[in-house]
Amino acid sequence: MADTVPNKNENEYKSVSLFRKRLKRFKKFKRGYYSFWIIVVMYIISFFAPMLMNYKALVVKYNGRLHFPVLKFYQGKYFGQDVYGEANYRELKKQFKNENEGNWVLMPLYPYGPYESLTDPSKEPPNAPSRDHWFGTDDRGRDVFVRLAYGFNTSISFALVLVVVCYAIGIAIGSLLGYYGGWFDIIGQRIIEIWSSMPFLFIVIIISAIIQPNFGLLVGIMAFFGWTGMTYYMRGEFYREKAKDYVQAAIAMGATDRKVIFKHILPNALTPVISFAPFRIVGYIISLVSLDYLGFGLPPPTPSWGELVQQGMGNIFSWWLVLFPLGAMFVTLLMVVFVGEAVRNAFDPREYSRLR
Amino acid sequence: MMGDNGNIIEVRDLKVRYPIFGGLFLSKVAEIKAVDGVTFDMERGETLGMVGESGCGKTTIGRAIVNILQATAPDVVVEGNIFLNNEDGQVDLAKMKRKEMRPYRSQIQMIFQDPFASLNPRLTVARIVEEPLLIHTKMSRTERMERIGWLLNKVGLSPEQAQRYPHEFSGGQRQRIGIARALATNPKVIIADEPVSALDVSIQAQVINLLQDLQDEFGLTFLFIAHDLSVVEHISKRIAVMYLGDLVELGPSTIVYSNPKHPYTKALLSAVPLPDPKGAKARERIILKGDVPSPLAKPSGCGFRTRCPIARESCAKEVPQLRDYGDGTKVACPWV
Repeated sequence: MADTVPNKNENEYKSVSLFRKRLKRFKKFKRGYYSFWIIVVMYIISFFAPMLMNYKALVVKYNGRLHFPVLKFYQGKYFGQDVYGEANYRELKKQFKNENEGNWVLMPLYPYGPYESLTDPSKEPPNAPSRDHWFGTDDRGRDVFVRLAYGFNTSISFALVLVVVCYAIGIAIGSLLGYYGGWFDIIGQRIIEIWSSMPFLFIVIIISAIIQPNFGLLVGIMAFFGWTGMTYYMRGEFYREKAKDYVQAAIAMGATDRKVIFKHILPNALTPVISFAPFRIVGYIISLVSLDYLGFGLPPPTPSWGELVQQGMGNIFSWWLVLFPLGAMFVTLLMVVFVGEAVRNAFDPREYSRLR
Repeated sequence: MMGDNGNIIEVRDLKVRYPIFGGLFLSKVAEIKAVDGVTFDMERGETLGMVGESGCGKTTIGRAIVNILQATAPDVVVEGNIFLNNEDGQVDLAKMKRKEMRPYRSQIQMIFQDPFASLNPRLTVARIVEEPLLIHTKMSRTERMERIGWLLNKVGLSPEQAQRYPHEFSGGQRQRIGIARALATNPKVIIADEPVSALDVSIQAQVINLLQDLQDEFGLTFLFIAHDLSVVEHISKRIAVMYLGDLVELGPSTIVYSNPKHPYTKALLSAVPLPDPKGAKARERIILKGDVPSPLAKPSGCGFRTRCPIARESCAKEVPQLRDYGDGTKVACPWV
């Protein structure tokens, strides 16, 4: 609100839009507000996971030249290492240290990758948490902490993309049904009802059984069936807002349909959309976990929470495989729910029904 | 057809019906006759008051004139004519599509009843008042801002308030914003749909005076729809009384108020509270029996006959037409 130029002749009145008011109110719900920022920051950080958690070195100084293995593939032999294929940078670090010839390796903070099998010859995986592997390793010797972190990014990205796609379709169709009404609405509604009564989970499973889905395809399939939910709310909102006098006034002024929809009705009809979004995200995270758990989700080596939960199920006595994936899921979902609760409260016009 | 007879709006046998669909195949099962054959004129520069109890179709007439019925009820059936006489001749607004209607919209504007619903809560006052200018004029941004300031001044607000949002104003101020918006394109006719019934009594007077000042200044023609009879008496030159979709009495307000003819008008006026309790006691109160029939099942013949104190058998057969009474009023009752 710093952008309103103070009026000299007026007593410094600051005008506040409805959205700003709600934003201010949102900030008051500390639990949700902080959860929101924690999720956002974690999500942003998770995009840099390859720089923070990786078996590849960030920087290698070898024979006076700098190399960036995070970005480029190097044979082990290139650094004078006696291995086939890619260099083992953790070993390389020790080796350089022993040689003490001015060569050095800068490893990421947590020097293990999500796909690496860290087979410890002394023990069969899964291995319990240790100083090297904070959350232990899974049944293929992969670091659970790293996989959880990579999986966090996948889960949130999946949910966000899906929400955006479903909302885009749902809002567009729901708005048109609500705005034009009449037969268009009646027929459209029936089609949507038929559409949404398809056994969506089984269709996804059947499709995944035929073709191995990737991220994009999975979003596509889910969105194909998931958009219907939003149409009901948008249709209702449009029906309600359309009858209000400000919309009538716009029509009486001669505003075009496009103007009426986008300038007048839509901004006033988005409340359910916004307040549902966090809960939708929770729902979509859970559905991805379920699909992965059942093995019909993302293809196997992808680090995903559902796959980890399934491992916990298969190795129920390896407590770290049960506790950490479920714990991570629980904490994440709880925080998103907190955000949702705060958003819902911030958008609630009835002051006294708010939970504090 | 042209000929300047002084009328700006001529409504001829206007009928508005809302079909109700039901049953398995959504066939038409009934229809609401909201307006059932209404004819009247609006003279240039006059205020025509329109009274009647809720549900009698007065708002529907107003909305039919500005042609916004279709927006909320796509199935609505509008019959008859609504002629607008402007410089280029006469046009019939009744059956115009939204696109055809657009050029005439700047001439007919509307003021709404509820000032809390008639302004988009997400737009600033400037953007609300700006919208008709954007649609109907090719003004530049500075010209528009200038005009907005001028308009706000005219309705008694300060131009500095233009950047505020509607929720930061009181009901009376919001109604003034609505009036500024209606005035933006220099309209000739303003349909005022109960513009003061949502306001405090003290504010009502201010807004009514404002409307009268604006009328004098810009030569506006008002259709003033209200159910508050004393407000209508104060502002209108002529008055139209409606009952169940029919116009029952139409005439100069002084005559209608002092000498009502139609039995419904008599009953209606006898219910107006008087400031003098003695006079109020002395007056004969006409209390009508029963309720207004549903417009779904309108009585045959005269719509008022079920409650009329002077109803006769023949009232059920024939729909009474408005006839000249001789003193400038028209009455839709053959027995007075």
